Amino acid sequence: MAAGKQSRYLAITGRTLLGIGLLIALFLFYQLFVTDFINSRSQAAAADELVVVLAQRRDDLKSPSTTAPSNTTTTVQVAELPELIVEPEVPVGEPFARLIIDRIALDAVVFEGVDRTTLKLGPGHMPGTPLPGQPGNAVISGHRTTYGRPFYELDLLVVGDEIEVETALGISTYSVREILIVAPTDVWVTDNIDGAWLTLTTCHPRFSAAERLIIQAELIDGPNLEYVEAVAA
Amino acid sequence: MKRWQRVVLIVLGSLVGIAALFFLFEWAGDLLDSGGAIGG
Repeated sequence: MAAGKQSRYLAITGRTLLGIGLLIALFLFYQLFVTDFINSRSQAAAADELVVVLAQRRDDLKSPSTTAPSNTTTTVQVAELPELIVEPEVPVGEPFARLIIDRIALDAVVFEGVDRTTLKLGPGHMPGTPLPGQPGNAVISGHRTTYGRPFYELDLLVVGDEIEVETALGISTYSVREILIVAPTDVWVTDNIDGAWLTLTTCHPRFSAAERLIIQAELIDGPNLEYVEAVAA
Repeated sequence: MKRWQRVVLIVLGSLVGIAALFFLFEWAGDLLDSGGAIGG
């Protein structure tokens, strides 16, 4: 009788463990393959849409500012600056740029927004920070291990590597200057910086959201480089 | 329980189960990779 009861408990335990195992296997399959499939479809559709969006945005480009920022010292003669090409803001969820990093063979369409829904589509630009190619600190975030894992190998970048961003302005090239590991709450990495910078953020280490890997790169070539250099001088 | 009631129960139960699994996977997925955004 006791032996029968024992074997029944063993059977229940066995089935429960099998169920948990199946659930974990399903979870991993979903995260590692289904999310990649969802992302590859959205990236393919966005690549087509981006061609149209970029053409439209090139028409909307304007250049309102050709003078230096105001200075309290009135005796200083302010030289005329090169033209700053200002790109209009982008609605959240819309593709507007292409991010190319040769070192890690990345070529991804970038969307506006860093909310959960947008980041499932591809790397997202943080609203409130300048667009890539503009003066200031443009921030782009992306998934590390799921949803197409665009930033899976971001840790392979080294100082000096080039990052290209194509927007309606044209292609802006950045050079990696700093690689940091910070807490997810370290919002100071998104603060504005003198010059023109691109900050890439992703989860760290792989398969964990405990920290953030940060790549900070400085503009070294692009349509607004002359303006940025003139302001810095 | 009639046959059609059993079928409806199985279909509804499956739908609820799939929805629950989806939300569970999404929640657990955030622990693996939350998207990399700063400040959240």
